[in-house]
Amino acid sequence: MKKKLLMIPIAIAASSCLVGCNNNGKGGIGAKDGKATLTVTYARLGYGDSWLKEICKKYNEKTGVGFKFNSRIGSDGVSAIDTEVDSKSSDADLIFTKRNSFAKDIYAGKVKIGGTQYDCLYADISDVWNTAYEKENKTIKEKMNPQYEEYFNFDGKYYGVPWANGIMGIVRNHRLWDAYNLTDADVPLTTNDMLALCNRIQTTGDKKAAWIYSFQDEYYTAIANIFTAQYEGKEVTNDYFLQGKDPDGKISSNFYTYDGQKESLSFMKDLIDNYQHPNSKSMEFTLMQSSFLLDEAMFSINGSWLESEMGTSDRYAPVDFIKFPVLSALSKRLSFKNDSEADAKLHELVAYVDEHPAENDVTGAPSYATSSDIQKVREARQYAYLSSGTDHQAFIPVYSKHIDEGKDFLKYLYSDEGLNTYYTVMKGATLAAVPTTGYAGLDLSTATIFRKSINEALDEKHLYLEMPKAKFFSVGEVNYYYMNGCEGFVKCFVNNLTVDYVLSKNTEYIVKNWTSIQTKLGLI
Amino acid sequence: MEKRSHLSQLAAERKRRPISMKVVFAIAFIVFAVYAAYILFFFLFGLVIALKADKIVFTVEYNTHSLFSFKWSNLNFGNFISVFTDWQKYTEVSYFEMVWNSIWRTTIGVFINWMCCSMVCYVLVHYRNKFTRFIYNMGLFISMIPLYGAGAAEYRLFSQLHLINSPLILLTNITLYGANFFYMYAFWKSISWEYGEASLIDGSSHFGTFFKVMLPMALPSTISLFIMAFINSWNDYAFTNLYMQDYPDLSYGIYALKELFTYDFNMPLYFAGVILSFLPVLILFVCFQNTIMEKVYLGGLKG
Repeated sequence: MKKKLLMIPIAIAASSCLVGCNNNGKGGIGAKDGKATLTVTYARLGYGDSWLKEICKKYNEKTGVGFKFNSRIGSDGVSAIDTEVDSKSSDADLIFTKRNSFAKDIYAGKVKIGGTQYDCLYADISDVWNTAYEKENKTIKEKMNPQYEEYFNFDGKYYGVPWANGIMGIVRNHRLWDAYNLTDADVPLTTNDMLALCNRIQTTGDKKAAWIYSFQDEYYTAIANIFTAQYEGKEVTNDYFLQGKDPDGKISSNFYTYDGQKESLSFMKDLIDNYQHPNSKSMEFTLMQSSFLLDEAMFSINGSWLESEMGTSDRYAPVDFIKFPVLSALSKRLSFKNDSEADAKLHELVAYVDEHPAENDVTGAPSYATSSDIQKVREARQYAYLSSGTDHQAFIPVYSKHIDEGKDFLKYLYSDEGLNTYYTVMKGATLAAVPTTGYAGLDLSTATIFRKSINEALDEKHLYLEMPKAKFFSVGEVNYYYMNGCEGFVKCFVNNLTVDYVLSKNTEYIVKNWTSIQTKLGLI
Repeated sequence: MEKRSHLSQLAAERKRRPISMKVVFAIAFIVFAVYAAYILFFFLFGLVIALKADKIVFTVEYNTHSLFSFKWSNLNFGNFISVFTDWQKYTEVSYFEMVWNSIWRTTIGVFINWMCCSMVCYVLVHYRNKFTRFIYNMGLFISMIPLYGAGAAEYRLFSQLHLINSPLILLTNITLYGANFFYMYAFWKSISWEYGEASLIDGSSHFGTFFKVMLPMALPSTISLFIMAFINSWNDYAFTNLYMQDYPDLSYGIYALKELFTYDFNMPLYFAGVILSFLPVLILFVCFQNTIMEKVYLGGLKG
């Protein structure tokens, strides 16, 4: 009997220990003057969360609105947020995440939650985009990078804002570059230049690997479409990327018949087969990054997040971004396509376009180039980096109990003050908008060459969006990265399969599933 | 004295064995020794990496294929200390809090699940009637239904019951059909009901029969299920990520360390964290291994 009685206080003591060992309430910001508390669920990824907490803190000081934070770490954290959003019963008022089905959910339209019909899973925040914050004279739409504005615009309505703005592209190891006595004149302007340079790097001097990547977590898949875009030109690329149309301008199962796809994959195959570091197949991604920064290779495809890695050791080499070279196969679409010196002429044209970026500027153009040639090369040169930000969305679930307060916060996020807070906390990184008063508060003269090259790239706005918006991809569930019916071209090339194999597998998949794809797209 | 006589008995037995048996035992010994070495190799590998001076040394040695090269000047035991501070910095929870969360969450959750499954299977096996047969058949049917995409529905249910970030979520381990339903059913079937009958005849209640007679007999068989479930639950960071953010456990700590280090990946530090994360389980095993092994005994039916 005594033992049984003793169990009761032990159970109570044990239960109180359970309550004590939690993370509850840590990091939240209390509301003032009876204002609402917004629950913010966010994915904690490479950008961290210090910027968000600082902006929330300033907003709290300004308005008294409180914040409760739920952070989810890493890629599984993003999946957990997806599950939370899909459950339609999250208590979050604001969600900052990387949601693959963002466009698909918007296209899906009406949704019923708890007996109430809503127009969309996400709150319509068009008024946030179309209103200037307090006394500012520009709306978010006017401040926003046009490519991001286009991505987040769904028939004139907006359902989210981007919360990251980075680039991905070719990162160059400057220490190795100098060791090889290379100069600005050696920066490859065409893909043939790149292959020649890779050959030179691997056969002379220290015979370093030209490129390095991580087979387990590679980015070559992401960049192949850049070269397709360069080959096909702006108008066709818009059809491809924003509409999912085939070369004839139709939604059909002939999607994989673009010449640009074959040409870009041919270049990727050459690069992957012949110029990679031997440990690329076994290296984990961050080990690869570290190896790249320790001079194991000259080039790597990477993103602006590399800055965080670089800052951790002074043994790491200085690096910067260089533009993607123009696909040499583009010369097949130019007037001098049959010329034996076609690539050399293309190289010259690219250099010319770099010196004369303005639209329709033909002053001092090479005599062999027509205005159409210059236009094509100028368009191709615009696809120089890959944007990594459109896939980071901040939105308000439509069932949130604080939609208006959430909208006010998003307006503040993109106000001049919010943008500059982000800029200061992130030491020069910016959101995808420019404050009316410009960015201030940091002395970037001491910034690394890497940060300077990022800002230059962002200023030039020569970006190619990473996340496809077209219904063909999001709703039709056709994979944008050549992974329909096969594991992607990188795995195929590593297994000695050909470009034709990759394209035929993808085509087979679409043909086989065409009825189902059409049904999903509402075409039948 | 007993141990010595037991050992001398074993030695005498070994001498009496025919050569063919000795060969078989020798081969078996070699196979198991190789297997043990294979398992231990990974722990040793992890330890070697954890002792590297820093991530630069690790990267250089990886690329020059000299990871197992030993330079005393390159050893750094400080990684084990840095893990504590870095863990707290990134996850906002200390190592010891995570250990405690792992212990109570895993123990209580697995115990509830194991006990519920035991009780259900005991009733289904030893109290057979139409209702119990129906429950069993329903279990068969449910096990055949593939469950995909139930995550959102489950989240919704837990959210509406206010179980997210609450210790009460462990009550969701109360289930008719656990993962080990059929194993448990088979274990109970292997235990004769004569023990139960004898207990009831002697005046014990049904609860008394179950807890004092039948369950102790089932322990040797079912403890392995408990251990497997314990290991799975101990390593389950996905559940923490989704439902128990406020009570992070060690597996979540390791996951968080890896994810947050993605852009600053210090492999030696990470492996130091991995080693520290399995130390509590190792200590528990070392302390309780005799208790666990002693539970294996033969049955007591007479006559």
